[in-house]
Amino acid sequence: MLIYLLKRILLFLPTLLIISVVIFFLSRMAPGDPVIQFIGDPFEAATRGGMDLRRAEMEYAEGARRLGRDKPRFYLQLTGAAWPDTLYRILRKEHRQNLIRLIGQYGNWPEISHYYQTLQKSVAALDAVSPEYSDLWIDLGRNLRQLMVSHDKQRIEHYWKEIGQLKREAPGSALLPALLDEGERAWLAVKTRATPWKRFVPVIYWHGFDNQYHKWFLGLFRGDWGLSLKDSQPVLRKIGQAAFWTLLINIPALLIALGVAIPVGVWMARNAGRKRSGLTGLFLYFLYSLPNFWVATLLILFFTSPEYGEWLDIFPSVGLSSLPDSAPFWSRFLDTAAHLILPVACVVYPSLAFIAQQVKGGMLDNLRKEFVKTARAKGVREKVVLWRHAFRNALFPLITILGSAFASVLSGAVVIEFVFNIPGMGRLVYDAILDNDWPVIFGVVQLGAFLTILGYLIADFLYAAADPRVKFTKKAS
Amino acid sequence: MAEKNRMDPGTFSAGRVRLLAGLRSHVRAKWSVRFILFLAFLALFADFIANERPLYCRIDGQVYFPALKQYAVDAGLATWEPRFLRTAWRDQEYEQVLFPLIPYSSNTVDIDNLNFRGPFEEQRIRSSRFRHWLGTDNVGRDVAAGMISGLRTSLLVGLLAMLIASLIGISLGALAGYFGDSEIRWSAARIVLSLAGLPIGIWVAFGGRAYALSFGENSILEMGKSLLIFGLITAVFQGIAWLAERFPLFRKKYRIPLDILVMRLIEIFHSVPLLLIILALLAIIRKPSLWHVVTIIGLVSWTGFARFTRAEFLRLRNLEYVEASRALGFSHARVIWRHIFPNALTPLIIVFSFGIAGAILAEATLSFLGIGNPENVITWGSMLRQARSYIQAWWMAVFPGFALFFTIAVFNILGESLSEMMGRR
Repeated sequence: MLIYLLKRILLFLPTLLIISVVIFFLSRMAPGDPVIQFIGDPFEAATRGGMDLRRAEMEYAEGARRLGRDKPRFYLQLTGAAWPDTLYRILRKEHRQNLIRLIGQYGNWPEISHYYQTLQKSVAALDAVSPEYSDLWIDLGRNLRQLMVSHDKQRIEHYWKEIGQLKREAPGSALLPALLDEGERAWLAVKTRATPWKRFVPVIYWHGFDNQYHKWFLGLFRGDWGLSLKDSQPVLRKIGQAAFWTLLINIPALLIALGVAIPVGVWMARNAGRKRSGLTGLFLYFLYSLPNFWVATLLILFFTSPEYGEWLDIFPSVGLSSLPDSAPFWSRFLDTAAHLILPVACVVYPSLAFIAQQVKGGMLDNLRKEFVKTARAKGVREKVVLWRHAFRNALFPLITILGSAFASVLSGAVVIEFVFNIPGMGRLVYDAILDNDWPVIFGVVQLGAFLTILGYLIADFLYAAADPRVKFTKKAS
Repeated sequence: MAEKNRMDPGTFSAGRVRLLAGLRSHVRAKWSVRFILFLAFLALFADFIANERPLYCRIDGQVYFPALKQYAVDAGLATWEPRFLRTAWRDQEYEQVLFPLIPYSSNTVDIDNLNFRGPFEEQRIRSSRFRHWLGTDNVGRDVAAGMISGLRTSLLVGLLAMLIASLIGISLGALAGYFGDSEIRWSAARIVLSLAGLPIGIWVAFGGRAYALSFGENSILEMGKSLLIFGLITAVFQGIAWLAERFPLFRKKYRIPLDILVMRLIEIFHSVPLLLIILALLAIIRKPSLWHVVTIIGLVSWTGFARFTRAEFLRLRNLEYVEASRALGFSHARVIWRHIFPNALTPLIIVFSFGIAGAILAEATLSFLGIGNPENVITWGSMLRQARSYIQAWWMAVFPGFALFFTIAVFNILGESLSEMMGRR
């Protein structure tokens, strides 16, 4: 038994690993600069003169460090010989991407590196020499910052031309004009000494274990799932808070669905071939095909407001409670329960239909079997035949369903919690998508993968525990 | 198709005839096919059913067919007369005119009937011909016209997504089922060179040319070039492998466990809740469009096709007629495509049918959540979304929702009755 279980776990590990790699790379493909989403844009303040450039850079670096973005991404990196393996040290995503694109055209990192450093020095010098807020200062600064994020030859040349005109009026020290001259020369060098062939030589860099993925993956097990970009809260804490409501809806829903569906399914199997069973089957099928967000919308429309008649205003409106926190516990409890009736109903009805059909199918299969005939021939009471003999064996498909329930709960929660405005996991994902809060989105996706795999494992385990045949046949194959 | 029947009279046509005969005798299947054809007809001729432009009109003695002409204008082959651009179609002074059944397009804004005008409410219209029979939405768009355009979107999404999914799923499933774990045997040289050629090919063709691919003047042309380069490099490596195999040293062969690999891939896809992964993928696209939605739904829902194709191929590959065709020396490709695939088609039609229903539901859910689809594209899901914001507008919830339910149910019933027919056979 134990060996069987261990075997299953070992089989799931590679799956989990691959999924985590895919999710990690998807999360890194997200558009926008996460550091700026996280701490706000310090450079914005710096350009307006509100903040020292150096302090802005330090704040940015600190933000990048807290998000774990100051390391190479992965153990290995497949790239071209033109690109250095130290690009990750350029923290600002805009600049890094621009450099990658520049190299993608000219293929000469030494020249491009020199060009970039000169630009940086010029920006710093500009920031240092002109404390007053002059037009020249603004224009020069704007052109330089544009250069930092331009990779198109024509645009770069356009900015250099503008700088050339402004340079003559540059104030005070001789340092800035000299730097600007050097920058222009560096740009010329980038253009003339291009080595585009280097781009096509593939190289694989080894970054070691101190990388973003390694840290992120270990964090998954240590309980450090990163920080929300929106409010800097740990992702895991946000998920934990939300999970309460999702469970509060789904556990009663599952119990109700099972409690109703099993007798209905058994009843349908016993009356198979008769009209009432067929009609019930059709009705269940009809229920199953009803999109539950539509049903939810209709329920909200007709039963939560007096709009269509006072007598239809049965349920409270969407949300969780309409009472203040100061109300006594029991009345708040009842109020919340009343709010949860409709969401629970919307989760129950499709799964009820589905489970009842499965039970019916399983029962029909088993009622045809020899052992049922034998039991009946022996004169065992019908009730016992039905429940003890047939139903026990019909239970196995249910285990599979329960195993995959985790995944469907998470998917279903997105819609139901959106419609009923419940702050559960689904709503958390929805809000995170609207806010581009990547750590939360991919945290929930990763959790979904964890739970699904866990569900399969539990199903496997229950199967093996309930049916001794499973262990042996699996072992044989 | 005709040629195919002549070539293989035993397989393809027989399966098809059996399927068609079954369809005729099965009442539910027959009716669901009829309804699907009806829906397809509505979707195909949507422009002649709901359109603000008349089908036919005469102005100042001149005859126009504006609904038809729209196609030419969209294709850039014609332009509208200035008078049509100056005045709305409804307000033109026609000598003779024939409007479509619903004289509104899905995006026609009727400023006289803004802010959710119900079907039974008083509407500010010229005549009952222009009545909004199913009401209007917040900016005065006709709900009936939206339903027709929503139908077109839904069917398009379902069909295209399933085409993508079936393409991936059938090819992977066929490979896994036909070759299994032991049929393909490669020499060590070929395995090593293929594994080495892949990253090199990917890098030289795509990585090194990344700038041209994303900023080049003609991105399709650049993509073509990249694919060509990739093909060339792969071919070169396979050629070297072929040469290396001449030496006995490298000739030892190893099994490629294709089946295990494909099954693992399916397991990975099954391990993430589908809606979540669709949402996450859509979230990282900067400006998602309907095409993104279709592609992503297609890319994540191929596993059903792969599983069923694999099962059918596993069953069929050991049948005598397949062994016979192998013995005759037909190539693998021919056996797969001509001999096995036609017989594996029926279960795939079932998967296709259920899959369309699933894809339509997924798209509607996404539009309902307001994720993926841009706001200006009217779908059933986006109409239901509007109903949420204005509780009085029951018509925004009832009609599109019913259309969605009906369409999904029809495809599900077709799938169900087809599998019933299969079981009976």
